[in-house]
Amino acid sequence: MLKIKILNVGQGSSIIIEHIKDGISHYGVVDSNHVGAGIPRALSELRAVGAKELSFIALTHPHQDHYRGMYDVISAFHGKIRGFYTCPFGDLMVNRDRFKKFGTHLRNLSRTAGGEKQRKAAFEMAQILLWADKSGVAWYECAGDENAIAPFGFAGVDIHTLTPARVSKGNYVARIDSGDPWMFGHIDDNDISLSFRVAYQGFNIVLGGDASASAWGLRKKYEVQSGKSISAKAVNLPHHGSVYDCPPEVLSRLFSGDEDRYGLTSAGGLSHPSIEIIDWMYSNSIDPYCTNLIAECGNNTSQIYPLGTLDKELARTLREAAKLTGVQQVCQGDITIVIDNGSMSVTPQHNHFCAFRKSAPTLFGPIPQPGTPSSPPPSQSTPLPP
Amino acid sequence: MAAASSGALTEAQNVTFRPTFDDAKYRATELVGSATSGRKEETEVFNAPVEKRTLLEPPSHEEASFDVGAPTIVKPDKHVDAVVSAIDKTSAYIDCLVAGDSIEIVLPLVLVPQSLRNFGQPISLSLAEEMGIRTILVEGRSVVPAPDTKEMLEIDAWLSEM
Repeated sequence: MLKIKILNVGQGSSIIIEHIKDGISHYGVVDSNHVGAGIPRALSELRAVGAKELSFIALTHPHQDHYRGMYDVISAFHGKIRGFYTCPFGDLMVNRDRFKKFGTHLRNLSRTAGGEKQRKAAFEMAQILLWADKSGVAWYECAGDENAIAPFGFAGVDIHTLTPARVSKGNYVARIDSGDPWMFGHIDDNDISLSFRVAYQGFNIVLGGDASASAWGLRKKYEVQSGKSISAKAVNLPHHGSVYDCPPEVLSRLFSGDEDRYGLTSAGGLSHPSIEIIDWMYSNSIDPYCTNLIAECGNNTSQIYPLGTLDKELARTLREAAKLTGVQQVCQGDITIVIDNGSMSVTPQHNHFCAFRKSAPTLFGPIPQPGTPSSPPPSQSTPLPP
Repeated sequence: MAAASSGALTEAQNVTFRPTFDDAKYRATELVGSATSGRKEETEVFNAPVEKRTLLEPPSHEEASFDVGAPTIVKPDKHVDAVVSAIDKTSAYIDCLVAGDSIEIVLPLVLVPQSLRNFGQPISLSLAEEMGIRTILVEGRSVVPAPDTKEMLEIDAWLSEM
């Protein structure tokens, strides 16, 4: 049996993969995000299921919403983690000068960045890299269009990286080598994000990381040349269902042509996923499952920023420029994919009604397609044509 | 006018509380009065110079029970500390560090001077006005480096070994 649990960690990502064979479970963690107090969700889940060791941890890319709390997981399983798969940082284990330059930049940021959030981001990344360097864990910087990875205990589960292409690490490495202050925290780090295809018992699942449209564009060249397609039944949408990184051209290549398909987004609901992406899935009969509610589905509670200590005009200007003014509200919560005995199921933590699923029209009437005039739901009393 | 204690307090509690009242509230130069003040004489205290307020005597026991817990009004801050958290082609994403609030704003990139467009850059925001047009002024600010911790020293040692 294979279980893939997409945890509701707000605007971020954290996934637990469990492979059970002959009654023995092996675990992997793809990314971590930690919101609020207490221990990270990934760690509490691993403790809840009684995990004693980890076959692997994967860090898709160095953005904080994908590794916040990861060092807590590492510390809890110190010496009991067999593999560490990361995006291509630039062969840091081999190129020690580059490693030192990057590590020193993180160290400086962790002391002198202007905010606690940025200091913690740099500090935790430095801690993770220190562990990867010193602990003896098998660390693989993954790049290439279709690299097979074989974590311990996952025999029978085919896991391949889909992105990034080898060429895409060049820009990242160039930033480190040139001493660019954006060698860490750059918005374009999504270009080197790992994404995975997990194949088991004939089902393909894609874990999209934050892979960008640019990364998928590079992969397309490989697909054209090799004739291979991704063809997944369930996709954890890249970059939290971003309108920029999940264009129809990308999504149509990720999904298979099956009748039942699932688009899963791990996002906070305030900025991601995009309604355009949800609409596209609906019009293509792909059922959306979102960890948190999006504004278009009713998440319209405005957050009030009192800013009582500030000058009134300054406070008003800041409120007007605020990026996110809603309050996060759970939709489906954690989402679990289970593949067993040749069948696959998708089970949300909260089975809230979703108007964008195929089952919705049978309950509430069809949703008008974008660009088409709305029509009333079919009436039971309408006479059938002869 | 601020108050020292509630009428429900025992004498012992009252005695214990008074030094706090004398030392903290009447010494504070930022204090400008009580938010619940409504009476004329209290309005005068509100507008009184700081020096005069520092000389005020603590109120009597009856007055002390008047408005326990009234919020202190401090002078509004015309600057806010902030940090550059991301930039893209057109915008800068800024975390504003306001006590009790966390607010992320988006500014046009042109408002952020080139030299401040760094991840984690400490900045200060205020309002500026030129030719009748109000805009946000983004300036650099200095920070106190984080103190060394055991974990940070481990990272230092690791880097120096490299």
